[in-house]
Amino acid sequence: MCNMKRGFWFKFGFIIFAVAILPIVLAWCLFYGVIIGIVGITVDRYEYVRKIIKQDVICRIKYPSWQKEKWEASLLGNTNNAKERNELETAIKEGRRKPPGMLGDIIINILLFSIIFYPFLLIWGIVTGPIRAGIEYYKWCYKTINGYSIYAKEVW
Amino acid sequence: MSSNPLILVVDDEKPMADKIAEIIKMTNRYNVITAYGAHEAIDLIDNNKRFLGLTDNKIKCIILDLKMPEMDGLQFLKRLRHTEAWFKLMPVIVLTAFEDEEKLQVTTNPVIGNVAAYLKKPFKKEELIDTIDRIFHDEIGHMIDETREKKYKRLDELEAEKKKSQGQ
Repeated sequence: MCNMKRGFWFKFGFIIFAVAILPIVLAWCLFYGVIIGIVGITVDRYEYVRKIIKQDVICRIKYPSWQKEKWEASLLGNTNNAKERNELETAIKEGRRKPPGMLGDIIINILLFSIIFYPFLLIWGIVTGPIRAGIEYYKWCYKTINGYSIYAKEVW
Repeated sequence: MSSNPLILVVDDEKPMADKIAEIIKMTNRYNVITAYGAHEAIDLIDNNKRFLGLTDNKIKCIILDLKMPEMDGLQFLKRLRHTEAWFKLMPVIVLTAFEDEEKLQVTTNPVIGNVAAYLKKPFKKEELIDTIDRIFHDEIGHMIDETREKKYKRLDELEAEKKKSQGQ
């Protein structure tokens, strides 16, 4: 990436321009930030659920007995009472106690990590969206004034 | 527009970075962008944000050379892991010609490094492709554990080598 040198008058003119359009930019940041906040968080949750389901399916195909063993271990690990433990073991062997099915796991994941957290994340998205949009504007101004990105400094 | 996952190659040696990019592109399963320095890589990550960074990045995997001027691979890795939440677990494949204790410790640290794989230069192209394929087939968790196991073994070897050289 080339490093373009900026003259004094260019920088001065641009700063005047950037300050003059600030009210429009702030209004744009608010509107764009809120919209992106809502859409971004919704897409994020949707993709999260899709990823969880995909991982769950892959896990079940590759390691069919893994989740059953994990469920058994956690169920038996919850009790210190030998009699109760024996009863649970017998119930598992006889099939009276069964691990939750695939659908059960997915619903738990969706409920716990997506639907319950979604409103809070949405608020987070709506609050931080305009701030993020403002930061983007600042970065754009920095790059225009200096000719290089805020992260790059003058290294290339 | 192709829906193939996007991979970022970070290496200060231009021919090496281009060669890695070429190897990955030849599979037709991944899209590749290259950065010839850590600062340029940070800039590319910033430019590939989705929804102002409210959801994960377009870049899904990073192939990182450790020895770089200005900001080295370890510094880049630390910085990456301290930014947005999705970068804490972003798959990173580390490439290096020299292994030492600090590099091993930092790159496989569960907080700072958490790298998916540690490839020693020169590596076979099949090894690189297999590693990337494993990452995109949801084996990242196993890979991180495997890499950490390898580190413990390698640290023992380095310790033994050190003792041997001190004894001589």
